[in-house]
Amino acid sequence: MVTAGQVGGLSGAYLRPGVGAAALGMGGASSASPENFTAWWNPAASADTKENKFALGAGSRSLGRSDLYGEFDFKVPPRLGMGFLFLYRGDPFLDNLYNDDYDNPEKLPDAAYTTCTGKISLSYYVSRKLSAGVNIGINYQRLPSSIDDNGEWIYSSTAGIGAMDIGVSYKWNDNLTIGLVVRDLFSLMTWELTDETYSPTIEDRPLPSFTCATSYTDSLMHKPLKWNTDLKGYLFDGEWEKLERPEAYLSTGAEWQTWKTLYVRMGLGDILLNGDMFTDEYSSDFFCKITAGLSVDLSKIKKGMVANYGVATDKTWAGLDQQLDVTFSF
Amino acid sequence: MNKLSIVALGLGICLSGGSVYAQSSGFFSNEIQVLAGSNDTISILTGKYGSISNEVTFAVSYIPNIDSAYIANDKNWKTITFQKNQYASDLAYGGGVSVVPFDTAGGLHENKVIAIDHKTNTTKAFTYPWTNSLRADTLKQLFALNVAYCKGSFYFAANDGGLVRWQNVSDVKSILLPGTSGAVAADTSFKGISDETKRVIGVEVSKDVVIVTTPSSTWKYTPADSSWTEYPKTSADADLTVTEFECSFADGNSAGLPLYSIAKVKLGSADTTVCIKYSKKDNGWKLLLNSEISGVSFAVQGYFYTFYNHDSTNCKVYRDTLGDSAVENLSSRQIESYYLPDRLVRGTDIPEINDIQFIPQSDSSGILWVATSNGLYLSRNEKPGTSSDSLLCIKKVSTVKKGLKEAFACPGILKYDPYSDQESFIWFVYNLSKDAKVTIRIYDFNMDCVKTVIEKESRKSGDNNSENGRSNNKIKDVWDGTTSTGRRCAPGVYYFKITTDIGEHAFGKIVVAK
Repeated sequence: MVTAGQVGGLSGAYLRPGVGAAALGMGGASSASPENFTAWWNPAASADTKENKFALGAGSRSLGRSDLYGEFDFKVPPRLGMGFLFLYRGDPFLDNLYNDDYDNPEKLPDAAYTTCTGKISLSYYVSRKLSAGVNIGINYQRLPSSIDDNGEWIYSSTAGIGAMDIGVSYKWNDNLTIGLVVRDLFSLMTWELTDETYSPTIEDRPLPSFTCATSYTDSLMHKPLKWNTDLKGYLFDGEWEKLERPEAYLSTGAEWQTWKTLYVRMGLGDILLNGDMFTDEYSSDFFCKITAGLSVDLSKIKKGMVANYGVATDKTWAGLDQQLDVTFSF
Repeated sequence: MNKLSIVALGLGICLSGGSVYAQSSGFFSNEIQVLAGSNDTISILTGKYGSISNEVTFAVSYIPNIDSAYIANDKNWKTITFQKNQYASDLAYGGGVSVVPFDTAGGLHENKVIAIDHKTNTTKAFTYPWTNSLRADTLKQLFALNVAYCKGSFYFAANDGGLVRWQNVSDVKSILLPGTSGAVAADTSFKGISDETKRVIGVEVSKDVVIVTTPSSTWKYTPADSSWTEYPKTSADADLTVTEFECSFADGNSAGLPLYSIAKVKLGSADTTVCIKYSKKDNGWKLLLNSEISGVSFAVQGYFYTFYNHDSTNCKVYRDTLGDSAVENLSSRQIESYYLPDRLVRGTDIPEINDIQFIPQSDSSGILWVATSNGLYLSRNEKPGTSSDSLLCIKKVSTVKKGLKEAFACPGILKYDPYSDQESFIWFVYNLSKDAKVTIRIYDFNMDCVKTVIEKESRKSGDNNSENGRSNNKIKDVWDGTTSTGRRCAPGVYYFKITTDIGEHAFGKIVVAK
């Protein structure tokens, strides 16, 4: 029995985890009305913000995976918004790789897997209810692929410019916002896997995803409550061939302002929805992320400053994924 | 600093002609290419190909005592490791010295030859007795890929340079030309062999006679009286025409030293490569085996072992009791058509046979050495065609910590292998503390499950398993870099998780770069 989805192993795995501690704490659901890192979550959102915003953060994921990210969002009155996002994501601790001598394997030198992603978003405030946006992405990956005569790693890298995300955000009413986002369109990275004797070329086309998201605001015990849900679907592979079985991942989480300066969050992330859902194997192998987080308003220290922390179990129970970031609104 | 240099500095350095060779104890690799030895010494040429570095490294390991317990102790083996990407082509042993010629793949017309003194564990470069004017003739092939030892001398099949004899103790070198009595003067008068059909392409030793192969003839050279006997391509079979000799050899354990050859022939109307034998009675060559064998080892009572490139795990045993007088076509008359493989199997490994050597100890038995891709095998009391017991396996295997405290993918990088027609794959290596049901799953960078390699399959603890003290199944616990639906994974870093029903679990990393 295989409860693996179609997506696992296909191109763009490093682009699938979310960005930002607040979103992580809410199960990774933030596409309808993201407060931070709008270029990542929904490029339409920056037109709707009332302030410029600068954010910087870092993350540590299980098994040595690491994040470093930052964003600058600003308004271009009267109707435009722009955002610049930078994301480093990788595994700098590839320290347990062995050579191919099965009987007497020897450890190889430490290596690192590095990816960098940049997104430039432009959004337009169409009406009081609707805004739309697009962003253009730059993707870069670097991977150890061979060893030279001196025992040093030979790295291969690839870069692609032109990946595109398109998003809209629609305010249904005062409580409900709906977002639609298509990510990683037209993304292409061409690897030349460097070797001493040959250099095969591989086209790496991340899968496009289609996200339908909601953000509902209300109050609980007279205190503000926000409930986000993202349903991210995968229908095609990177070459627009239909996947054998379409599938979706549901993420949902809530944020509650318990104190004037304290927000708490919790959620469930990456719940796989596919054709196996009603089988016994699906329930026995069911896994998802359990997330939590909090934000502290630090305006007393610096006006407009908020610190966010998010934590989640990973889907293999190998450890915790954590992100910590600070945002400045001005 | 590379690993070989570190080993060299840590364990001692052999300097030879400006080259540095690492000297160490223990097997270098379990991929054993060539065997050479005597009653009390075994010397082996091993090679190791690193798919991540695309490097080949060869080494010679030797041991002065073939007592079973002694050879089983890895530390008793001495090893000289050669520089990377120097391709050793053969190995000969005699008089306490191993000699290794290297392939001149780089296009040089003279090759490197290294001699290893077993007593002092030192190396010495052998140089051919060519004059500068001969060396300047770049059209001449002056290298020897084949070497043999006989009565105090090493003999090199030096192509256009003829047969080179090196009396290593006195360091006297001579050039011998098939059919020419005595040595040729190694001065400017020697221009090398100009007829390609007469260049010396092979040399073997049987008892006290050197068997020399040229494309046009097979020769017996007797060092005692420096005499040559020619066996030209004359066929004694009506439908057999010998086109070219490739490698000739003789059965040193049978009277009259019956002569055999692997040769290109025209059989009927077909061009093929077969094993032929010289019939003294018929004054010509006759078909012995209608198949292309890659090697032969003669045993006693006319038995001989054959092994093959195209059927590399197999060994067939034949018997030829006709001596040098007559020839019988044995193609369909093997004593055993699948003789050694079952006796070599360890767990799921069926090793490829690279070389066989039989050293007679009595009229009916001897010591059998088998060089394989999975170690050195020994049968101390081998009765050819009769013995059926498993051979003693001598190989070096590193231990893996119990209880999944150590678990890894081997190799850690999954690459396309340009030298293999098969899809590359990795093994999962682990050692359970108890028998358990094991699940192995692969995850991508987002921890999305890529594939379930095995699910709840029974695996034995390392202590309870014949697979080198490890729990993994070498055939099933592998991953070829595909997803559960058979798609090829994108390049990147992947993670694997091994879980068991006894609570032991482990994580590891894999780089997919193909």
